[in-house]
Amino acid sequence: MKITRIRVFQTGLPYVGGAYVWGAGNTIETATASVVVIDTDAGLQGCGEFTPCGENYIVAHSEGVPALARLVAPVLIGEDPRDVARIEQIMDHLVQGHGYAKGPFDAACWDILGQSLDAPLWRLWGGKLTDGAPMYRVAPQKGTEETIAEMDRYRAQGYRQFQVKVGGDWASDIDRIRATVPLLKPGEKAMADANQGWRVDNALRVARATRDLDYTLEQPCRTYEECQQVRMRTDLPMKLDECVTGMQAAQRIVADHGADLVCLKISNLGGISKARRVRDYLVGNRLPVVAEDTWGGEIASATLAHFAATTPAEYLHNTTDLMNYNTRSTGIGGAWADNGKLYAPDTPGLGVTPDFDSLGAPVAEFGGTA
Amino acid sequence: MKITRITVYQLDMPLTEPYCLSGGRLKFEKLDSTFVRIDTDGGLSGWGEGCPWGNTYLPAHGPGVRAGIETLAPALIGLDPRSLDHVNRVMDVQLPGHPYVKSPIDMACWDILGKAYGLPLWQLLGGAEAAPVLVNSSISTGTPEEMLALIARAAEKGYTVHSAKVGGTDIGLDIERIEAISEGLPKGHKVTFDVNRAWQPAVAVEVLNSVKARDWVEQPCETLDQCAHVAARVSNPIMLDECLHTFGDHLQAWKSGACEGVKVKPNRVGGLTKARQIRDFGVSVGWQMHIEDVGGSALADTAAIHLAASTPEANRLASWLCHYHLDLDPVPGQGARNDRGVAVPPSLPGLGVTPEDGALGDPVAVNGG
Repeated sequence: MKITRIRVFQTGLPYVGGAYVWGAGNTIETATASVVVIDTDAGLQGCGEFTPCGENYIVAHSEGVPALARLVAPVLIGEDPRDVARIEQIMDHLVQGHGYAKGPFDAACWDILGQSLDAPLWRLWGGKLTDGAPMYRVAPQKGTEETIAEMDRYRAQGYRQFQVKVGGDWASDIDRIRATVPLLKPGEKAMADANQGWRVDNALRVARATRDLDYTLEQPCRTYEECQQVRMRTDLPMKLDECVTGMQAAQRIVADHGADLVCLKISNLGGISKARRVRDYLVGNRLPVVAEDTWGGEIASATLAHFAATTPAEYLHNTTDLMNYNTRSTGIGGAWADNGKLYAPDTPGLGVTPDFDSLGAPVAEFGGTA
Repeated sequence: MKITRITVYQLDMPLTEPYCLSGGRLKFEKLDSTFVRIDTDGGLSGWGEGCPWGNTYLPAHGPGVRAGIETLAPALIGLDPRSLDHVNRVMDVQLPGHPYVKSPIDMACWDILGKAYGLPLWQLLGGAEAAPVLVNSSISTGTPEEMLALIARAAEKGYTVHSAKVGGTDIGLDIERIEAISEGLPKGHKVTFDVNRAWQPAVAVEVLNSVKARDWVEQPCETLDQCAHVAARVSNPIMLDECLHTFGDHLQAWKSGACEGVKVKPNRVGGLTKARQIRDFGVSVGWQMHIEDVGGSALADTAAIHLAASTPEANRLASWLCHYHLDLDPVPGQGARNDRGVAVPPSLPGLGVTPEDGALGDPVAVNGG
């Protein structure tokens, strides 16, 4: 089997709630999805997606996908997409870094491999160790009565984990945490996510003022070193996220005992092949993980759902139904959410097909017709 | 003063001979360079160049430079190009990482700053004079005899400092290369052995503890941790290059005692502004530095030579000039050029290099009005 054509599509994914606010003063209303569609001479077609949470969330921007495609696509044409590790190696030998842009190529080849074997990716990756991955919801910032009512609605939908968005003004962040965390019921989990927004001193102030509460502190500061400075002086469990960029970062966390929980964003790790290796390394070291991606529509969510499903349940903290955060789609079918849990499809490959109506015309095309 | 327009040019620059390093692992025949012209409402224009060394030497590639400028340009139009730290902060907020994209923009802003105040960059960067900078040769990997012949040829042209590329799969051959070159070097010449990450830590320890040579060794292994491990076990001074990207990486290198010097390359670290910060840190901790760019025409080379010339002599070893390896010269006769192993930065205002109209072909992108 040979790759005959590679196309890159880009489409805007508007946030379902209007404006999504994160960290210190960042807002997105529409994220840009980049979808890579690979055709083969066997008639099989695979797809992959990279969508950042705004162009400046991590070291990853949308223009970088067609830029990388110009270098790797001509070389990938003619290769057998089922040799996923070889495809990964070819890309790494052609261009150093830029894993976020390689990710959709990697996923698309996995998709074709799965289809060619008539097996869903969760089966190729070892089977469903988590059948229905738990999800969390962001707790609303409203009056107490209203917040409780909304949290109860989430509970009725099956959610048992709630996140408080912080990382702005540290003093009001303390109020937010103190107002929300006590509303949780026994057995429920709370997280406060600063998305790198605090300075070390202010993170310590927040941690001290809320130390009687049971919640997990997420990526309080920008760099790994700053987070460690906070960690040394607080007994709250800590989750690291944005600074987890690959195996080297994971090795450091294990060596330093640098986190209690590690968020694995597929695009931040350079695609699903590399994300799986980092996940296995962390789980092998008995560190629980969150299966995530930066953002995404149906294609990114399907990849994520297979990733979450193949993570041992006792080490999978949670995941996200990214596709339900947008009003536009990248794919048809794929993962679905039910009763607060995310499920991976049983159809072959990724189990999702590109939504060409939504994707529009390709921004770049390489090779002949399929 | 405000940035009104950012014009982007692309130029394929063939190498005079295919370049091989690290035992053939990395090979290039041409460089994909991006030139940036920034125009302002004050009528001044500045030039910058970003030219990755192939696509596999660093996480940097030609189309990526243009893609990154596309993402950054809307946030840059309207900024005062003379406020260099502000321009850099805006770039870092708009596009995390991707330092190789930011370097040509930063360079063009320095050019404008210099022109605005009538001063050459070597002076704006703190130098006392247009100090002549030693230029080092670049000796491709080969047999010990071939490499010594290349050094002899370079010596005839006036080079006294040589960067010999080693790091093959054969440990014995690397030992032979190093011993032969160290012994056969013309009197008074200096050599650095550039491994370009090719060795596993055990290979580095084995080779360097087997040779008598005590010359500089560059980037023996892939990661900073591996290099620090090696530095603690060998007698050679270690210089780091490809594993350093951010200012924080340089702090980490110093903290872990991983090196006695670094290569300061504007395109690798995000531009002259950040390279100057690293240079100043290096001076404060006693590092010795090679100050040069990752690649490029005489335009990018000249920017680096301005920084080198403004660095205390005790802290700079030599600079490599990429344009010497090119079959094409988009800025003929301009900028810092090798003259018998020495290069002097121009004393014209700004960078002192301006591509002639049409020398770069038609622009590939024009941002702003």
